[in-house]
Amino acid sequence: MGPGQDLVAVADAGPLIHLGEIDSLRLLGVFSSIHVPDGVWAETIGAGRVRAEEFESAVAVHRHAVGATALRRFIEESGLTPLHPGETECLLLCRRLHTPLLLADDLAAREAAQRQGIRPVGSLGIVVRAFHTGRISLAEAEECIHRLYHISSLFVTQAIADLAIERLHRP
Amino acid sequence: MSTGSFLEQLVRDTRKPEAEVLALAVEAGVRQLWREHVLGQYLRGEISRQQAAETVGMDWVDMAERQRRAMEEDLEWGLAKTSSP
Repeated sequence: MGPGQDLVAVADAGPLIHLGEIDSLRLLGVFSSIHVPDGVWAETIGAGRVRAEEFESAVAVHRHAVGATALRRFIEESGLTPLHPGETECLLLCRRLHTPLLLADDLAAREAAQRQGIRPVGSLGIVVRAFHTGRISLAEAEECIHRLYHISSLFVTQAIADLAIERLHRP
Repeated sequence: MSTGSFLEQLVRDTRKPEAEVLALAVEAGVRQLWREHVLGQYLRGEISRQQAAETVGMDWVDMAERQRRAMEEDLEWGLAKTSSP
């Protein structure tokens, strides 16, 4: 199956790290391209937490430098100071590129994105979309969700993982 | 890193006997399992918010609710018609 049709997103570190930890970066193929600010690149590929070749073979990746001055101005305007710098860079990049989708697992980053009118999608959403579009089977989606809970560093309770799996089984 | 290597490093860094680190690990693990059990009961509607908060604390209940919202948003997006952004 080819890349996700015209599905473009900006990525925070969380989903890249968490999908990498469960050997499922290929699921990023549900997107046609992913934009990554330098701060997130440094946290993931730069820090050796995500393998560049695996990431870039899954999806078209575009790396962006976000100027410090523009970032400062954006933080002042938006009141985003409690967020991690990479997350703030992502929100600025979404605005710059007019991209309404942010890949993020961090709850604070997701809530900040929603306040900016941006839709957050986490690792779970990517697994579910991969299943829904026929890239992986129901059993594989279940296995991915189990691994997100048991193996990855994603902070999620067992009950949430179980509820998500239960929902996938509903027609 | 594996659980075994976490244990080795904890023993080394804390300078506690391995048996003591293991005893602490069991206690922490059971507490976590208990908390997840109670939050699971709450999220499945088997106990009230008040009961869950009294048992594990309001901070954990808040966190579970935020996680559930995020999960529901992800499911909604993931299962939507593939043309939706």
